[in-house]
Amino acid sequence: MSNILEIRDLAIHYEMQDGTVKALNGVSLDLKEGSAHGLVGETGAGKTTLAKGIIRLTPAPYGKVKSGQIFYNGRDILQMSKQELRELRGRHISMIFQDPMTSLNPVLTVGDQIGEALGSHGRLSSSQLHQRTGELLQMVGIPPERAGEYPHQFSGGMKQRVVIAIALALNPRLLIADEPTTALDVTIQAQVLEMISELRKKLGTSLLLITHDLGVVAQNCEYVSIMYAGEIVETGTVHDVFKDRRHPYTQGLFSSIPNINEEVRRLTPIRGLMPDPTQLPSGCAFCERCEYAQERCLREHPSLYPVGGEEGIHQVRCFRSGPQGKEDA
Amino acid sequence: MKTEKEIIQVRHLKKYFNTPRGPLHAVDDLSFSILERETLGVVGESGCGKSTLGRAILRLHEPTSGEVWFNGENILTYDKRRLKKLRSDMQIIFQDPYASLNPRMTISQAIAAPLVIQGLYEARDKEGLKKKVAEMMDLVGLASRLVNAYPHELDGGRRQRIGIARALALDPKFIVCDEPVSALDVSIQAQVLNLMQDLQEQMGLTYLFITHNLSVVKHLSDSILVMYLGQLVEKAAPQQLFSNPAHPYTQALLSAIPVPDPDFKMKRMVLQGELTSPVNPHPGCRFAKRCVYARPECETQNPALKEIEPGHFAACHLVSGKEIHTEPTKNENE
Repeated sequence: MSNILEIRDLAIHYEMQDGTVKALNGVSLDLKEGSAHGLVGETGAGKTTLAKGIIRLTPAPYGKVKSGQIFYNGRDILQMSKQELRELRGRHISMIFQDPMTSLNPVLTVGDQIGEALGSHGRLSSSQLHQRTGELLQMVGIPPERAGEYPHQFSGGMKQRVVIAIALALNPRLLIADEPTTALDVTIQAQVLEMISELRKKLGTSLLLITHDLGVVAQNCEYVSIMYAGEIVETGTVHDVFKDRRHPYTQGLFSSIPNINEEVRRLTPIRGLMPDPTQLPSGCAFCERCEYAQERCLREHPSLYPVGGEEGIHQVRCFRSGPQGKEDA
Repeated sequence: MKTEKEIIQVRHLKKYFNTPRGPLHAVDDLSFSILERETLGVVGESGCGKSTLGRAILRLHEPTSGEVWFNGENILTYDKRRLKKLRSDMQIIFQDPYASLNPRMTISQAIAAPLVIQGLYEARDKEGLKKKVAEMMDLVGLASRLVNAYPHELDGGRRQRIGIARALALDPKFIVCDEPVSALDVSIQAQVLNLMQDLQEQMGLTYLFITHNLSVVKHLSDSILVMYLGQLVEKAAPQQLFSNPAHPYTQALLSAIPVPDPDFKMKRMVLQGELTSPVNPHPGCRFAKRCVYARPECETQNPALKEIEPGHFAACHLVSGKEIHTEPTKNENE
């Protein structure tokens, strides 16, 4: 299986008046063609910065790509011209944003908004446009007759379906979904996720799914990366990371959530807070909250160490998993 | 220590909102009770009326009809003066710690405000207030250096701790917790949930815990109430509800929770359609249009609440059990 997307050492900082927010600090990530890759982390971990960075939507002027490369089918997105980017977005890579309530234009009908995506990328006659719009609505389970209605006439779940229809309008190879179901109820979340997975099967789209819900990843993805303070701290197949949790942060995340199938009297939260992204520690970013922290963790920054796993891609950013970790721990 | 005393009894509580299209049945004939020192979890999707229920019990929304008994008295008959006194006993923790705090008040001012309003302390008793605020901050785990900080300086977890401190400052007996952890990250969520559990044990509190997160509700409730479009569809102890959900809506709700275990293959019962409108609802089961088991009578007849096994109630035509119209109560004040 080849990689559809290869991110190498990507760093994105926001230069604000009161300091530099180090949102993303050297992220490398491989996305396998046709697979679903989950990206998990808490608020401020850099998930959305990464997603927007991939399609060059880093907010200007304060957002700066400090280093890195993003290869899409071998070409570096960061080197593309405006023209090439226009071609890339929508047709090759498209994105679903978090909040369906705010990502649709309230004064345009739903049909017009889908047509806009189709029209700006292809040369379709108006009757072809109309027909394709109807097909897309049908695909996401909305009766085509409703194409003439405005977003406020739809419920939250249906708005998110419209957003998905727009994202899939041009049959992209890669779909980036940034918390696509966070604003929705569980039964509607189940509908939307079911639909995304069916469409993926049919169209062969790869998926980068950003979420803070470990359950959503377990049920919908094959690969997962856990992010913390702008870095990937653990990555591998979902089975590697969920069953053989190595990084203390991953372990902490799991013990923080009440498990529906287990009886636990008390949760074990991760103590403390994520470090201020304007003042990241020089050592391990997690060491202040880590119960295994040693002197070395304060001084040195750990790199991602391979620890094997099902497909040999399980990696952990912790000295305990490193070459000398075994003696130390 | 649990007692068998019912601290809150809600009977046939209704809250309708008038809309141009007719009355919106936000809470429609709910009856239940809460035992002292217990937690009753209320779950349901957005728009099912769970927040309205919490507010109607506290009379933050004036109920349309019904009764709310607290400590043997129907508080819906209280006048303003008695209601104000009652506020010390019944408090609420709000969902959004970003919106529920006054941005121009420091932490100490925010915590002191209810104490002064309720007349427990005089505004000029600076020393006494300072001591009490420090005590409350300590109780909820806020560092004393933050005493003069403003809400914008704090993260969501700390802000929610202020909300909790404010509610607890008056030494209440009953607290409505309206989605207190929904706006927080998971690692912070666990800190706040643990704090709320500890405080419940320490202070003998009774909670009405409103949430849409089923894992959270299972974790901390003694009893769970499932709502759908303003009505009670099922009520049971967590073990009963999760191992043996009776109502088709509860079954669908439980099957939709994504389990964080890749080896656990979910048998999703994907519901068709969405919540219908609670404005001028038709007679019949409100879930019938989305229900896979719906039969003709479901469309026309209201299902009665039935007791399927001891302590497990459901309102569905398909379950069999003893019909009850109100949950039996041990109240002698009638």
